[in-house]
Amino acid sequence: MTRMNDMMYLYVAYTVIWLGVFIYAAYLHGRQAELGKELELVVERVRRIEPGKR
Amino acid sequence: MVGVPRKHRLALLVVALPVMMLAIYMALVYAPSPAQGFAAPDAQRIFHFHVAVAWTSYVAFIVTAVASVVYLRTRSEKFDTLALSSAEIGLMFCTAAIITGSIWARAEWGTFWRWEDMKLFMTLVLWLVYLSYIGVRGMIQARETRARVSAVFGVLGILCVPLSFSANRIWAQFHPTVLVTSTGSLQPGMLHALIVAVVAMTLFYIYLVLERVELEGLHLRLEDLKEEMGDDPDE
Repeated sequence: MTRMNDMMYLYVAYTVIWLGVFIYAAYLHGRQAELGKELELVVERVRRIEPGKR
Repeated sequence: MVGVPRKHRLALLVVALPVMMLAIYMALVYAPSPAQGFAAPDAQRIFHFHVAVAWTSYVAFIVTAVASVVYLRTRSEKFDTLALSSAEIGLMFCTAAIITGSIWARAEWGTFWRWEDMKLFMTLVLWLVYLSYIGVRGMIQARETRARVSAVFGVLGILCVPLSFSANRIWAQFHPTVLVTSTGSLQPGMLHALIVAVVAMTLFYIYLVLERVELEGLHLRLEDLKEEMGDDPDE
């Protein structure tokens, strides 16, 4: 095993961990924003349907 | 489900990021490489984060089991949400542990996987159990049934954690127990780097769980409102 190859395995392993964590965190934030917007629209729809109750 | 306020979650991230940078520095620079006995001494530095993600996945699955037990006792939806969030993040960390372990194995053993090694096999079983947990949840539409079945699954799944954790101690095959000196303990520099990596990963785990709980809270609220309006909640 050359030192270069050895270092490449190290680099790939660290990349996998950090890409995984940050892609998952970005996915969570993206979905939160998406659902937040959808929730606002639905709340608005509910208000229009039942104006007296809300 | 009442989540943690956004500013508290951000504050946790602000704490976690420098700890993570310190952990990377310690793993790559501060910790010594094992002096002998390894074909790929630089690749040994994978060990700090490989152990940290594996350890965090065990913690995550334990949290899932505890939250599942509490759900079965109280039927409070917030514990089902916590169990789901922790299982999903535990699965992600377990995936990272398997992939980084395979990369290390390729560097050290010349192969990505050894089916005869019980540690690897039991960790794969653990991964499949929690993948099934997520899959089963997706298959059940009725909210209460989904939570109840998942809770039973979450409690039973925990049996795989001690098996995966102790497999290399019970069967003593290829997977290293720890990288030890002749006195039987981890070299001090490696131990310090490992501890900081575990702390950093645990902080990230808590942060991700809080974000996932928030997301599930939004999802459930939307489902409730759609149901109230007579819409199909899955639309």
